[in-house]
Amino acid sequence: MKLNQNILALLLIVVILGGYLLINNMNLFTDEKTPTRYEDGTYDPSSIRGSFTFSEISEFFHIPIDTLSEAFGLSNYPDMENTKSGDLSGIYDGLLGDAEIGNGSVQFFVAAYLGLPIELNEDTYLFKSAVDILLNEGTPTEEQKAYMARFTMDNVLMVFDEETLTTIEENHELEEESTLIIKGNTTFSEIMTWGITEEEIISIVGEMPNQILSVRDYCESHDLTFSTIKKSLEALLSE
Amino acid sequence: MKKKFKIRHLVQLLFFGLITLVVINHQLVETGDGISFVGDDSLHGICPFGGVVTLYQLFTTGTFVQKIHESAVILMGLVFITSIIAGPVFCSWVCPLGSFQEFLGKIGKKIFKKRYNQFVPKKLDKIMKYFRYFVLIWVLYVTAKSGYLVFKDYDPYYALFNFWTGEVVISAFVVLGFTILLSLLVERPWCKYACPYGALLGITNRFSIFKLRRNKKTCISCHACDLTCPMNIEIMNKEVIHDSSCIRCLECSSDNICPVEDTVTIKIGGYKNEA
Ligand code: SF4
Ligand code: SF4
Repeated sequence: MKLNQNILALLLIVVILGGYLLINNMNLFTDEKTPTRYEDGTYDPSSIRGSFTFSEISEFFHIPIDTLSEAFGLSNYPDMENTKSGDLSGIYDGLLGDAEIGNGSVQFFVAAYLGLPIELNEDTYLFKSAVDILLNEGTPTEEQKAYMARFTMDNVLMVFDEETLTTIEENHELEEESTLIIKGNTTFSEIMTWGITEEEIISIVGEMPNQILSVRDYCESHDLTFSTIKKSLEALLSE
Repeated sequence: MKKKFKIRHLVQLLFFGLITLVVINHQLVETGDGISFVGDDSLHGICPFGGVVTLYQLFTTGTFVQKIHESAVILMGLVFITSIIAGPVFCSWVCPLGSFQEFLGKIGKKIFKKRYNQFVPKKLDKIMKYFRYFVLIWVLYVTAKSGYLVFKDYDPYYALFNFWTGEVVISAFVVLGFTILLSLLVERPWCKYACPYGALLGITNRFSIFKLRRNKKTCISCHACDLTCPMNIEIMNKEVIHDSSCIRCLECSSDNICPVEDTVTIKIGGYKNEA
């Protein structure tokens, strides 16, 4: 059987291009939407990013979405499914004083709910509603319990009327404009163009990596946790 | 030449355009203006070095936590599927670096006419063709040892598609520069002598389902195939072309240069009138 050139052309287009588009649409190419896994296959809560919606978090970590809504004081918030973890800080913007309830709080909540380890950051707060759920339904470690005892705050009661929702939306847009996000393929040279210096990078990773490397590739090849390094770098960026 | 217009060139153009688009989109996404239906990854899966390193990581670490790598492995898997079916067609029909060199070769042909692609003595050419296997081993070795993606520093593909970003280091530009200059003298110099991915895919010339075959019964020994082969393979004295440097461009085939019908084709099994 002979393979004619036109068939070969078709084969290449179907297999490579078709395969590529298929995978692309299945979202395999974006490194945004799946948390990383521990060796035993369970997802690592510290890899929850601000771009994850609550329905995604609920799905990945098998926590009912209503539990998440209640924990973060959003039981009457419209469209909780599509609300992103990173939206929390915009929702409570200006209402919590120096404390912050944001993506870090979601990471902590998920970890303590499932009894998984997580690095404790002194600026991560939880609402009392979240702590109640964790103590009743979750499996926090002793260390996490002690942390919760220090970093709990009373729930802020909010009515999500149209005006509040518009303000939240505006806060959110402002925030999106101002945050530079480190993605899987962001290279060291890019973050340097955003204003981070060589010394600052060295202070975080211990040496100056080759600038053309992506932060993630570097972390992987040096046994560093990408999410932790990313967080430290992003903290510098937002300063 | 039987046909002026070649379907292969169209396919090359399609992939070159697409990859350019993806690379540009990659930049745009970073500035927030990306086009969503086009991917925005940097396509290491189909980059000569990236593919090899991806494969290496797959063998050594086994699992892939990061999606970016998973996608590269899948892309490479797709390339392997086509190679198992038809040999290293990726090189001649898809790879944008290959197409780029081929385009430069057209200029070289205009300048040097018949002397083009004949500068390297046959013996030397045969020896130099092994060099890409050293590159392959070197890439694997360096990655294994340092865990560093050092290859990016020498990758002409990366340099070609990222030259405007300021991310490309000088050594990669030097390799690209040499590739460009040599392309004016030799057809696909990078593919022939240096590409580790090509080296790997070239092995499929031995076991692909469809093989390139010459019918010695109908062949009129005109040498047309030998003269046209970009990889300087002697086709006329073979019945099955197993040469690992063949890129399955089919330039030698009866669809293109061979003047006798059904004499050089890519097919399963031998020719009927051969016995
Ligand atoms: S040999 Fe390498 S550079 Fe050449 S076409 Fe094949 S993959 Fe591309
Ligand atoms: S032998 Fe034929 S198919 Fe292979 S590289 Fe040469 S011309 Fe192309």
